[in-house]
Amino acid sequence: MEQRRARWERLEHVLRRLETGRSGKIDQHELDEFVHLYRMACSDLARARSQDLGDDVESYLNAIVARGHKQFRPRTSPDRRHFFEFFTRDFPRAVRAQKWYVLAATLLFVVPIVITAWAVVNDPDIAYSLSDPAQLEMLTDAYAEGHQGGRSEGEDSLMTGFYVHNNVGIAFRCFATGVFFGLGSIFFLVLNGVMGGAVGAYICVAGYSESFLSFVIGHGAFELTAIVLSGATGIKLGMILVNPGPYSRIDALKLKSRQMINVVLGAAAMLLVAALLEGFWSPSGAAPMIKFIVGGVLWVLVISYLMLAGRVGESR
Amino acid sequence: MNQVGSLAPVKRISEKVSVQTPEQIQFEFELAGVSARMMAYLLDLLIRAGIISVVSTILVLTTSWASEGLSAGLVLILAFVVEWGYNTLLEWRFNGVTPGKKALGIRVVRTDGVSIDFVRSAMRNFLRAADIFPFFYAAGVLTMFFTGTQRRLGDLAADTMVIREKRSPLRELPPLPSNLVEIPTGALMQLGIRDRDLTIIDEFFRRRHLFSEDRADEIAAVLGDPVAKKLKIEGEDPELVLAGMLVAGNEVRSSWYGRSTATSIPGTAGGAR
Repeated sequence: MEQRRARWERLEHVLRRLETGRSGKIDQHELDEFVHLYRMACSDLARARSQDLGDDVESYLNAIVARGHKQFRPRTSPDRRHFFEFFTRDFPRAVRAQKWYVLAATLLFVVPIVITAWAVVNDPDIAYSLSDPAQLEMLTDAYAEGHQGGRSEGEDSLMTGFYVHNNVGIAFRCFATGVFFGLGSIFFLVLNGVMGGAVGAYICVAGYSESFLSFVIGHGAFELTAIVLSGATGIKLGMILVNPGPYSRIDALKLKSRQMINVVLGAAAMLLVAALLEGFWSPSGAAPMIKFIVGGVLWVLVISYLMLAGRVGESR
Repeated sequence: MNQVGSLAPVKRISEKVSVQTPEQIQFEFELAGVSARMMAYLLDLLIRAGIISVVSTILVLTTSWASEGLSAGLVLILAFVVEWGYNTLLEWRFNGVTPGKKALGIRVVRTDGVSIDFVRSAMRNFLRAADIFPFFYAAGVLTMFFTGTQRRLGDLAADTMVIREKRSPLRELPPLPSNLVEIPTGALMQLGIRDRDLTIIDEFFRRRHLFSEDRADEIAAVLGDPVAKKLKIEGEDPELVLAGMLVAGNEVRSSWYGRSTATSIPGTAGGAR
C-alpha cells in the first residue's frame, strides 16, 4: 500500500506538471514514467473495483485515471508550416470538396439578388418595404457624393475595424445556424441577397450606378465569396445532420469537421482581406475605370485560387 | 442509517459518463451542469470585458495621436478577436479550460475523455452563434436538457462534453485505538466476514474524525454490535470491536493475497501496518 501510495503521489506530481502546460520542460524519461505510472493506476483501479476496496480508494483512483486519460491527445497543433499550407492547399481543397454546396449557396444568394434587383428596377418603392428608408436615403446620398475626394485615413481605419467586426460575425453566424438542419444558413444567404439586391438596385436606379458598382466590385470578390462559402458550409453541416449516410450523425460530423472548419477559417481570412479593401481601397479616390479593372482582376484571382490552388497531389 | 436504505432509488441529476480507456479500464466523468457552465460563462464574459477595456485604453492612448479613426478601428478589431478567439484559443491551448471554467472546476473534453484539439475547439465555439439563438443561449440550454448528457449544439457538433474536475484526496488511515478488542482470525472467518464488510469498517475509521462522538458511537454500534453478540463479547465498546475486526481481517487478507507488499491490495495490507 505504501509503495502504491507513493506511486500514485508521484503520478499526481507528474500530472500536475503536465497539466500546467509547460510540457517543454518535461523530458522523454518523465513521459515514459508517466505512461508507466498511468497504466499501473489503471490496473489498480480495476483491482480496487473487483476487490471492493471502498469508495475512497476507488474514487481517488477514478479521479487520477481520468486526469491521466485527458493527457493523451491527438497531436494536431498548427505550426508555421501548417499556416502556410493551409492557404496553399488545405483551404482551397476543402472548398472544392464541397463544391456542390458552394454552388447551391451561390444560387441561394444570387437568385434573390437578381429577383429583388429586377423588382426594384421596375418599382423602386419596393426597396422601401425591404429596407429601412432612412438608411436607404443615407446610402444613396453617400454614393451621390462619390469618392473623388477619397476619405481620411482615420475614417478608413475605423470602417475597416467595423467591417471585420461585423462581416466576420455575419459569416460565422451564417455557418453556425446551419446546425438547424441548414435552415439558418439558407435564411441568412437569402436575407443578405434580398437586402443587397434591393439596396444596390435602388442606388443604381437613383442614378449612381458607377459610384456604387465601382465601390463594391473590389472587396466584393472576397466578401461575397466568403459569405457564400460560410453559408455553403452551414448547409453542409445541416445536410450531414439530415442525412448522415452510412454513419451515425456524430461520426459523419467528425469525418467532415476539419474540412468544414477549414472552409470557415478560410472564409474568415478572406473577410479580413475584404475588410482592408473595403476600408482603404474601395472608397479611395481612384478613377472608377481603374476600380473596375482591379476589381475584375481580383474576382478572377479569387475564383481561380479556389479552383486551382493545391491541385497537385490532391486525391481526386 | 436503515431509513436511507429503505428509500426508493432516486435518479441523480448530476449525471456521470463512463469512458473506457485503451487499457480496458472503465472510469467515470461527472458532467458539469447548466448552472456551473453559466457561471463560468459569466466569469469569462467579465474577463473578456476586462481585457477589452484595458487593451483598448492602451490602444487609444498609443494610437490616437495618429488619428482617432485608427484607434476606433483597432478597438473594433480587438473586440472581434476577443469575441470569437477567447474561448477557441484558450480551450485549445489549455486543454479545454478557460479562466472561468478553471474557477468553476470544469473542463471541456472529447466524449472519449481525451483533450480537445483545435478543430473541436473551433467547432464548439463557432457554433455558439447557433446556441445563442434566439436569445440568451436558449437553443443551447434546451439541447442540454434534451441530450441528457448536458451538451449544447456546439458540443454535439464537435463531439465534446463539459466535465466537473474531481479532486478526491486519498484519506490516510489514522492510527487505530491501541486498546482495541483483539479478535482471533479464526473467529472472524467463522463469522463469514466479507471483503465488503472490512472495506466499510476501513472507511469508517478513515472518516472517523468527521463524525461527532455520539454519531461515531451510533454508527459503530450498528456495525459492531451484531458481531459482538455473535462473539459473545457484548458490552465491549463497539468501536474497539471494529478496530479489532479490521486488524484481524487485514491479517487474513494479507495471508491470502499478500505474498509481498508490491502485490498486495491497496488499502488493506497497508492499513494493518
